[in-house]
Amino acid sequence: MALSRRSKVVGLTLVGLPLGAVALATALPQDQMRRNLYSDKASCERDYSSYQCEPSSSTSSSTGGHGGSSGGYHGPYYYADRNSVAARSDPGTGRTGQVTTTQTSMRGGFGSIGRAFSGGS
Amino acid sequence: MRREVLTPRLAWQARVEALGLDFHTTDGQPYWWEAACYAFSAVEVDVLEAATETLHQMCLEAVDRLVADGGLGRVQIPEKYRDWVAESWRRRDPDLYGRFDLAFDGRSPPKLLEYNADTPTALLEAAVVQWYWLEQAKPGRDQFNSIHERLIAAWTELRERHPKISRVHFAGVYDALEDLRTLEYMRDVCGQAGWPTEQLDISKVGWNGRAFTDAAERPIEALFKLYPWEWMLQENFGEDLLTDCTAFIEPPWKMVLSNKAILPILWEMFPDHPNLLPASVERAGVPGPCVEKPVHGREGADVRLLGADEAGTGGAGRVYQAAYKLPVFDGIYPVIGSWVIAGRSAGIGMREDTAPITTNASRFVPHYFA
Repeated sequence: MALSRRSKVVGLTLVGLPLGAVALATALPQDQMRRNLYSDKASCERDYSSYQCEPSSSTSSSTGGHGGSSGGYHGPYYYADRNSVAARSDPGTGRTGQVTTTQTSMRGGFGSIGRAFSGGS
Repeated sequence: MRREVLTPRLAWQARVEALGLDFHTTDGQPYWWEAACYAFSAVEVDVLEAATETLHQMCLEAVDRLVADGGLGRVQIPEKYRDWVAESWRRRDPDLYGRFDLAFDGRSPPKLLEYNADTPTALLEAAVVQWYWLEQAKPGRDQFNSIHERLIAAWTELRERHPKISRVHFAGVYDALEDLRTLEYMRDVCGQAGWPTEQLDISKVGWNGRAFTDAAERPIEALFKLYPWEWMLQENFGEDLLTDCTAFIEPPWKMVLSNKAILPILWEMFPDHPNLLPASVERAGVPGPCVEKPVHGREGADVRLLGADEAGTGGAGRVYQAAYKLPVFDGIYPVIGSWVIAGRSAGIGMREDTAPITTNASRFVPHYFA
């Protein structure tokens, strides 16, 4: 008997769900990462080692009440949820708390062409 | 190979929508079309399978040659990205899928029209919707379509190969319904392979100076992208790709194959191969009637048929491929989308049109074989 050339079973778990249900199923867990932004290097080094403090560039965007600032120095990334297991081994939020603001990633660096066209072919 | 006219299943729209194909009709025109189907013999399926695997191997040889010879500029990869692409090939970063578009009439060898190696769509229709159609409309018949189970097997293999990757993000343009459904389907089979998945609109991908991040600021370990490499290279985060901090599916080396500049290279490496058509980057390299294609065109956009004495547009962004007479059934031109999953031929999906150039409006038609 010749072998069948088709899938034996085609079961779906996600496809076909209403869009709202898909959104719920894909809700992200709360393990956001942040890093602190300081006005100068000395402030940063009060919280972190010298090698962990880097000049802040345009590679990240600020969030929170003081969003939009640039320049200064930033510390290393840490988990926002300090109770998470992952947070036990990260550099922490800093000792002094004298933080200008916190930063998350810059976004929107991909997708500009796709807004005009879909990506499939 | 023949085209059969059929009576569609009762409530076919609801049936295909239940499988996620809610784009079965676009701009008032049917995209999913089950008032006809294509029938193949087992021998014809064997021919398609063999041709697909042969073409895939030839493509891999072409990548190997271009990397070894420093020829990535020939497929228009910008200079600053060439080492990164070459390294992806030398590591043999695993690829997942691709779709060859073939001209085939059941008698002559299948001919390669193009290779959608990076962001192929029409996947849900081929893997799932036509499978259920067969169950209901042609019970007892077979279909050249093990795409679904091969995708799950391929994701399983990827997961086993990368045990430290905890989750896979799926990025694309979620506002586009067809892309959304394709991404959902890929997430579905990836999840069935045991890997946690998350959706992420491509515009929400972040860059923190060291790594690409998701909306929760976590580093993206692996990213399945339904978004063409050539677009990503042009956009603001393009140079950040060079940090090589994320595993991409498809891998960077796939961009060597996902543009039509590979067609002249294949013809050069395998002249007169029965599954290839003459192709050149110059109009004069393909005497007679030909098809002019943009190197990075999508879904038939900007493709032109040129008569024997007709000049081409010229320039670096065009390739010329000998015109091939597609088979015609009742005034309809079919093209076969032949799927490669993890390097193996996995099945086909049929598109048809009243014009000889397949576009994004061309209908998807199911098939069976006996």
